[in-house]
Amino acid sequence: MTTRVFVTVGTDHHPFTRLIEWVDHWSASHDDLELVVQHGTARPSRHGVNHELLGSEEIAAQYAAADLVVSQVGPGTIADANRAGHRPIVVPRDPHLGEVVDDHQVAFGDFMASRGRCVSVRTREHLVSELDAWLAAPKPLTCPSALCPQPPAPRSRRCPAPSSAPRGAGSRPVGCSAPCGPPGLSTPPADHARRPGTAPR
Amino acid sequence: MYIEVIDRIASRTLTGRMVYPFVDQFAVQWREQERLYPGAVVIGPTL
Repeated sequence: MTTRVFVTVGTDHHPFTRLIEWVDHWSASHDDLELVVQHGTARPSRHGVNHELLGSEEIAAQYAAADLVVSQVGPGTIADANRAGHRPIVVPRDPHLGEVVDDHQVAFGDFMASRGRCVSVRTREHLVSELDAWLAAPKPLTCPSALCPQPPAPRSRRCPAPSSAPRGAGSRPVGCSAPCGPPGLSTPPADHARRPGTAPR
Repeated sequence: MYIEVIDRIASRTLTGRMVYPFVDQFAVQWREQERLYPGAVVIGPTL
């Protein structure tokens, strides 16, 4: 069964070659992957279909088509991937390697991981183990409340329809009282559980 | 009004530091950011 993996470094102008190298290292030993890589200013992937940069609609199409998303610790990437039903595996950019201006991605990756929105890894070995573990047993997002301050709802709970309440000044913190999903979330995916080979193509 | 970025929960942005002293309302997106900016209002995540 082929697994489609979408890899994106985001739009930061610093090259994030390390992520491409790590994904290439992992994918070299797997024949059943369909790799699509948005590599930015880093070198292209050796095994994937490469794009230097993708527009927002193209990115959305990639999330919809992918079984698994791998990315930098980008808030937009994590939020959009969550809305598409993914729990992305993310790698924080390292300022000591010239990948970003400071280490905020490390803290934010751990922060989002603690909320179940992503899996954040900092070494190649950890990335490989998480990728292989995902292939063995996919970890779908249980609730698409992308950046909800609360921990994700129990696995069995279905997400409520998004509220139509206006989000004006003085409104309560988004997503704080709902068990699952901020009002700003517009289109929860119909199917939260995603397995390899079942994603829409 | 200023809204601090969503992805810095352990440090302050340069912009946040610059505008904090004079904006009418300073907003943060997570409760964890409140300690960085005393008096800020938590509006929740914008993404």
